Amino acid sequence: MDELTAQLAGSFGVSQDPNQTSAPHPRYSQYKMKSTKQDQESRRSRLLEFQKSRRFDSMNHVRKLTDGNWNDPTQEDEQNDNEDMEVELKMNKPGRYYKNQLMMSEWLVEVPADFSTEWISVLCPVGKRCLVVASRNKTRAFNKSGYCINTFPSHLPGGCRQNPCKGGATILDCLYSEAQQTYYILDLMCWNGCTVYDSETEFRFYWLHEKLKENSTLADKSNTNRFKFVALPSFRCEQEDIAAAVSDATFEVDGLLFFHKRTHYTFGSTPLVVWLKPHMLPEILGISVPENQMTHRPSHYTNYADHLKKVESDRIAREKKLEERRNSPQRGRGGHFPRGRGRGRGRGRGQHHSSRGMNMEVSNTEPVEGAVGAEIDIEAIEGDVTQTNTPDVMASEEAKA
Amino acid sequence: MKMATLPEQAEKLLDFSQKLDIPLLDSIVSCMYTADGQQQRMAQEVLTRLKEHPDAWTRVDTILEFSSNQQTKYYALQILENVIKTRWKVLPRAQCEGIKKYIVGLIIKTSSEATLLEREKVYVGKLNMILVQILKYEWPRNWPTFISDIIGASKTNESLCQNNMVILKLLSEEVFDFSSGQMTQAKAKHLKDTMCSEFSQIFQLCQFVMDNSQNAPLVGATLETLLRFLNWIPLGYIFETKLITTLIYKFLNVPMFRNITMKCLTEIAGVQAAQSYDEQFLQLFTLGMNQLKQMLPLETNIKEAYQGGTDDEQNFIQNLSLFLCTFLKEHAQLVEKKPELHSLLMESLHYLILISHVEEVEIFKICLEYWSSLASELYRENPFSDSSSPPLIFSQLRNQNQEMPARRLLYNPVLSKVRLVMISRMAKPEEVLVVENDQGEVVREFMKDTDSINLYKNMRETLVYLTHLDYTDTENIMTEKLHNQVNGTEWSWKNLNTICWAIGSISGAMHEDDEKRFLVTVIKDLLGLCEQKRGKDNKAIIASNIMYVVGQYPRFLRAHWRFLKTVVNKLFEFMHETHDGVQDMACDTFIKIAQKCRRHFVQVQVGEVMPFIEEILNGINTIICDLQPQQVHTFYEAVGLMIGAQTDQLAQEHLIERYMLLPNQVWDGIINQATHNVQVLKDPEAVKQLANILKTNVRACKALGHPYVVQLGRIYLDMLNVYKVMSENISSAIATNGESVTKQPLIRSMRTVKKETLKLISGWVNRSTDPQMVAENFILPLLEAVLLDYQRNVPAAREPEVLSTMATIVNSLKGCITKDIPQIFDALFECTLTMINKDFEEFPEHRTNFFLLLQAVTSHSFQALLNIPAAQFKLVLDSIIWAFKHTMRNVADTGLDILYVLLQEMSRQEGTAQSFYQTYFTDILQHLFSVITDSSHTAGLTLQATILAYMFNLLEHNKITVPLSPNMAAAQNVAYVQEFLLSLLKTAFPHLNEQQIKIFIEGLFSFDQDCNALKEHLRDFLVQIREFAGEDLEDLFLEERETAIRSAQDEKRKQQLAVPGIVGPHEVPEEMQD
Repeated sequence: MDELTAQLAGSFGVSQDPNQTSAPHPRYSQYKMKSTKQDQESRRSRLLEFQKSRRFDSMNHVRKLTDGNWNDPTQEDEQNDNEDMEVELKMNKPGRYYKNQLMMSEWLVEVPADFSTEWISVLCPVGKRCLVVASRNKTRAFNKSGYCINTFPSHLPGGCRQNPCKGGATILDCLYSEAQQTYYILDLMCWNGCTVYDSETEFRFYWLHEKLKENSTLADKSNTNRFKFVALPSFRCEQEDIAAAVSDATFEVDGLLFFHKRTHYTFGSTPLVVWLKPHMLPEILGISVPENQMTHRPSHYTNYADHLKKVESDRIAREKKLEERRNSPQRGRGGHFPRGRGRGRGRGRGQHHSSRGMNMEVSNTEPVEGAVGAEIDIEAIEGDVTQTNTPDVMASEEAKA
Repeated sequence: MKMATLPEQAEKLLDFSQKLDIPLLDSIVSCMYTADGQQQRMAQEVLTRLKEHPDAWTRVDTILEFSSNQQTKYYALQILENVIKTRWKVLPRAQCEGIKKYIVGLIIKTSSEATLLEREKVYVGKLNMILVQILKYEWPRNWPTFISDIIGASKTNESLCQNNMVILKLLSEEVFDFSSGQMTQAKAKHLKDTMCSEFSQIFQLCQFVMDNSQNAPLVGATLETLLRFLNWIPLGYIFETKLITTLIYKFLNVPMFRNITMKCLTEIAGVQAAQSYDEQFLQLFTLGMNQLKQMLPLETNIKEAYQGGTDDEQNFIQNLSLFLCTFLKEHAQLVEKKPELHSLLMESLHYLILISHVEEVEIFKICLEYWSSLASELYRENPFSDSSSPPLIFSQLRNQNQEMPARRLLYNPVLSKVRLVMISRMAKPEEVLVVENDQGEVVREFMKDTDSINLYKNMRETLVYLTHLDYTDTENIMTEKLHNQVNGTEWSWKNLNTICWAIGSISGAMHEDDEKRFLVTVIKDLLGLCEQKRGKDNKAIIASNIMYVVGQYPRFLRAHWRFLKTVVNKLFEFMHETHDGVQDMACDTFIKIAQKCRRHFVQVQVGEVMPFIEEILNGINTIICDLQPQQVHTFYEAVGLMIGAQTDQLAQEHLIERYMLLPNQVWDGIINQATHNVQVLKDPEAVKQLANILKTNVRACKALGHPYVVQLGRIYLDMLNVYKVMSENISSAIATNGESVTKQPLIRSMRTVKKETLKLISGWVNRSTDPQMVAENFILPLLEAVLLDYQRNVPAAREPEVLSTMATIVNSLKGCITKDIPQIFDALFECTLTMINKDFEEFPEHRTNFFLLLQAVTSHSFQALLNIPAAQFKLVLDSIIWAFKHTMRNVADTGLDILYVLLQEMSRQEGTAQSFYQTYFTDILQHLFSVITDSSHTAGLTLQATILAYMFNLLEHNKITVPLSPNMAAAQNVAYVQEFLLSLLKTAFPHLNEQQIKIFIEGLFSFDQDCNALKEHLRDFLVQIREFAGEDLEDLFLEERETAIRSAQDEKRKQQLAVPGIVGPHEVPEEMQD
């Protein structure tokens, strides 16, 4: 029965994107996730490499989105699944009819070596992810699967009758907050007919903020701008910046997106954009967050015993990689640990796993000690389920280190 | 032909003093068939007028003789048929004889020659039909020798004989198959008796033809005719002659006759006869099977043969399946008793198995019916599985198969094959229809009653019985089928669906432990398959099948929490999947699971820190963020079901608050803005959002039931205010732009808001458990917001849901609402009535709901009706009468229902009842008779008869103590009503004679104890009023009718006497008084 449950939880799915965010974070899942043959980091570098040689007719694509016309005889292969993802890396094609037009993130599983220099973070409020297309004097919002959630006038270029920008069209990637009646802009793909699909993140963000400054009426509700449009601020990926952003947030934080500075705007899931929930920050990035951000932590988060099992099963496959990672000089310990060592798990995944892996290795050769360590783990969890980590665990870990 | 001249021409045709201009008629007829537009309409009108002319029939012979146009001839025959059907009785005898002779002559002339008969087939067909119509009047009284005449004529000429067979067939059909509602019961009986008594001549003729004729069309016609006879002729003709052997040996193996022969044999197989014919049935089976084996070798692949076969061959397979199923269902027990026939029995079942694989659903249904009855019979006989391992002590007693019933032993090998058939053909269990609703939204609807779903139900039932008989076998077959999916030999989407529907269909049929073991392997296999297959399309199909199977086994889910939780979490994952249909599948499965496992989500499960519902509510924003509104509504209903399972009221209220947090936030936002600036409620987006939130609330309420009150209380007054504002907006839009504005999207969404508000309130009131509380706290503001608004609005802007909501409220709150009824009536009654009393069609929804409201008040708040002023009461009664005069079936039925309830309720009100009777009793009778005698209301006959019976009972039992007539005493009420009806019917149907009507009225009183008999009595009367009776009463069988009525009266009296005290002391017969 357990095996069946694990099989159902783990590898079963329709889209087989690695580390997809609709499934639990592989690290927090009670069950072993389907492991990809390639780790996140190497897929990133290959994607960036591939991006250089890729040719994507973004002008044509913008025309399809703004005119709603997909009758393009040259592109017939819409049945293009990203099935062979593992066999050979390739770019996803956008879907037809407003479906799969958004750049989706993966879970941040392996903290990249160049995280603080090459990445930008964006704090995301709770909301519905949608594609906003302003063209032909109206503004439409589509959800991920292409369903039109809203049609309304807006001050985006091309978005309403009163707007002077004739012919221009705008395409945005937004988070729609129904309660706040606001579209939080995550990314910009096209502004007033000028497409930036093929531009790097830094430029897209810069352009977005510039344009919004020029069009300040977008932030106010009016008859011709029915919803507020607010650009989400971006931050450097330094611990203190992120920590400050989280604690100063003016809205309910859903999570954080991290964009690679050099990625273009692509379709579907990509390892060049990654996602974390606030409660994961301490463990994965070593950033402490206010207690109120920890409330949506899933209950099984504390269930460390299961996590250990999973780690063990992952161990063999990952051992080699982990070795390399541990030797890497970039693995930062630089986080601040306001809660003491008990919470300070900011060594990144590689470090963490290597220590667990070693732990297990040791327990193989020295069964008594390993067994004791594991036992303590479980007892600790059963004793106090709300505690995320226990000194005992740390102690045993430290001892082994 | 020029159009302008048409009317003139018509005048010429209708002038019966002139000779009929045949070419003119021909040209008008062809104009009617070939021209179009105006010209065609005019031609049609001319022809109709001519046809309706009382003397038109006198022209028929001329037309038939001189017209060269076939269509004109048919037209003439139509005229003739019409006159025979309605006016035969009033034609002078000589004319009748003339027509009869003419038709007979014509038939003989045209049918005597084989080539002519073949060429004029359709024309002769019509002539035959007319002859049969005549026979229905003439035979046997005026034409006692008809049967011997036709038999005699048949012997002169083969082609004449062939057509005579057709006439006999038609006659048999008219008398035995279609007589109900076309002839009075007495007449039909008389004709049947005559036909039976003269049947020997007919049978001899048939036998003669079958034995001697070499003329194929003649033999074919004879077999067709015989087929019609087989279901009524005396059994001796079938079983004590050589009919069966002749059919089997002479005709079954002749390709040309095999289908009709098979049908005859099926008819014979279906006969339920006494034991004396057992031998003959066995003979039918053995001879039939042996002949069949030669025609259709047992190793034939019938599935393929059918696919490649001609129509005739395909029909043969169908007829064969009917024969085998009919025979086995009726007489298999006979065969089972003869061990020497067992191999033949097995062979017949083998045929059926082969036929069950034929890919034609109608044929499959025939086989299924038999398999289903076989499986259920075997199960009922001995409800134990072959594969269950009984406790040791029993197994010792039970030697090898000794305990297994003999029948089961016999059928066992076949049953396994039947299981395979069911499993590999399992039908689709649910049907989803995508439709656009009134508000222009595309919605999904689950169909309840389609062919496919009924097929699924029957197959499921059969497979469940079969599984009970031997569950290991079912399991093995399913497992193997599934393996064939995995190893690719049978892989296809259709096959995978089928096997998964089959697996899902036997949920609960196995013991729990076996079921668990079985399911674990099934799910494992499917998961493996999902991993193995490439492509999102494949994976999506497999995923929905896994979820379908899992959703079918709630017992399994309830027993394994961690698995259940994982399934639900996986569904949440799927709610983000953009592949077509996956989100819908996830939401549908989620609600299905929520319905069956709801309790498990609100309890803290082993190994968990909190109930799972808490986790869902924590993450609800993320879970639903990629769903479409419709899917979100389903999701909310599912979560509502879970919360509904929380029995602790406080905890439940807390959950509901969190559950509605998100919609309430949006709601509050809009309401806050609206309080500052009411114009916000004209913003299309805001209106759309409100409608959406209300829909979420409707689903939440549906799931939660009464406890939803916490949420309802929170938004109630704001919601009613929104209702008012929407309504004002709509009214003013209509005032400025006219009614066409209601088609505009914004106005439509505003109406959606109104409709959803009403739906929410009526949905909740319907589920509420505390009528007193509802009446005190919720009704007043509702009436305030809704009633006046309804009254003042223009008709097009009145929501029919107001009426249905009020009906629901009255139905649910019953007595608690009585005091408010006058207010409701004042506001709704008259203004709705004026909308619907102009005709029977406009505002159909208002119409239906109006009468539903009236029904609710009559049944549950009758006191309120008694309190309203007399004028208004008259209005109510008038509307009830108006209701049952509708041809819209549902409205008419509601009307009759209300009337019946009203009469019953009224009889309990001593004082009021009498004045009610005095004022309305005869009125009601009159209106009732006006619908009873109207053939467009025959669908309501049962209810009409019930009410009539009730009213006559009132009369007869002296429940009416006031005089109904101003001139007669109360004691004479019965006589008065009889007289009243007599004059009423006489005026309405002047073509009936008084004797007929009197007998009818007498019957009404005699049959008032037996609703069915009364119904038949009314039906006979309906037949009579369609015919002009003329002076000749004899074949109305009035005497027979009188006898039947008298015996019914005696019977009724006997019953009354049997119950002491029912009959008053002065009525009791003398001899019983000592």
